[in-house]
Amino acid sequence: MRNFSGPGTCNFSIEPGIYYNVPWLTAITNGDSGAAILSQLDISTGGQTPQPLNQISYVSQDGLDSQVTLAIDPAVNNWWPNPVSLSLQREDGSYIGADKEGNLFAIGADGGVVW
Amino acid sequence: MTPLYATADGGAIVTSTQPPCQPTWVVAPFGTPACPLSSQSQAQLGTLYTVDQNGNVTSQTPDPGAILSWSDQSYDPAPSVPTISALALPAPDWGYGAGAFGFGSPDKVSVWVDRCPALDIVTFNLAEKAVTDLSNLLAARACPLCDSKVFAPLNAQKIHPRPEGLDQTVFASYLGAGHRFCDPTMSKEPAATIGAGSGTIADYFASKAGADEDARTVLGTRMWSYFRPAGTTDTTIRLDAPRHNEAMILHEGLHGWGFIDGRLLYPNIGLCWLIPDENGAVGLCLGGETVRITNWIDQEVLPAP
Repeated sequence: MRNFSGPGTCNFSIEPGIYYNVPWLTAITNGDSGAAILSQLDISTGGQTPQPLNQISYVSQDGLDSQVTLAIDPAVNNWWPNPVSLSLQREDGSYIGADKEGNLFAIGADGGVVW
Repeated sequence: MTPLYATADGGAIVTSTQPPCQPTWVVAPFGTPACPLSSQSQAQLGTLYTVDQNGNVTSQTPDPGAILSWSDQSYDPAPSVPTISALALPAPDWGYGAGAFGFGSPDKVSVWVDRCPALDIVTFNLAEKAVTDLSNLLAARACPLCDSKVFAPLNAQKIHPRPEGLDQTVFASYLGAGHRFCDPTMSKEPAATIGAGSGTIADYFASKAGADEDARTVLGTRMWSYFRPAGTTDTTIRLDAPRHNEAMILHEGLHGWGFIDGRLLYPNIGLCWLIPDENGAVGLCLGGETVRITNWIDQEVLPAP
């Protein structure tokens, strides 16, 4: 099943009653190793409150290397209307980004919040 | 808030300037509006913030909306006139790695360019020791021959562009303003940055392997140099010759402080002009200048260890 629930939002269902929104994908370099893809999913099950899931997938020439989940507060950095993006990578491999509300953050390569 | 540059100290420079909302930005590939439909058609200038490695704001200034060039110069896009103008803004001390610039590079074309690949740890430690030792030496004014054989002759001939003149203290301040040492063999920085034509710096250094071309420095307010890995040639950083390495820092630092290939104001006069011949006459460049300059500074200018 696939439907559009509003401007800019795409819902699709993999299993009956479970909805996955993929509203936001951004890519940034991962040093010399490849790229880091930030995906922001919203998982809904039936009438439950949508559960945001922000992941970084590290990819290289050979494919997917690893995935980590961002430990950002979904109440603050929810997938909508507040998608986040990773803009810079620091020398230690951590990332600096911002959400749509202008909040800055730094997250480690393991997805943990630095500040 | 938009992050612009990761800085060498682990912090960042960010701006609150709102970019103009281009028609193609209204709906991103997966449907999320990238900026509001009612957004402005021109950038709304905000504030530039510098944050430290812990995210604390350490300074702020009005954002003039300047565009940064690959040479670290800032330009006013001047949207109301068909020309641009240079702005006297300090160059950002951008950090190492391909992710140091928002959208990957100064021109923001989403091509991620590692402008300054970090040196390997051996070369890094040797270069850091050399710059620290030389800076301390000059700050203590403990190199009188640096003044009499290098700085004073350059001042006398005015073959540098800096009005403040050059002496040990000035040069120590230049070295103390920070530096960026990079591995040229992996750098995707345009070779034009070091005045070496087209292609990348890595391409250029590959083409010059074995040709006494082991270090290049960019003209600017802080030292920004590319060194081949230590020990790979006789004319790059050496593993067991600290004074040679200090001489190399002084040599390259002179390029960075005021000379492009040593020929900024007087064509055909390079740093080799300083080296006297066997009769004491200066102004002769006898070939093989790069290694001759470093060796001369090592053997005839810097004090013995």
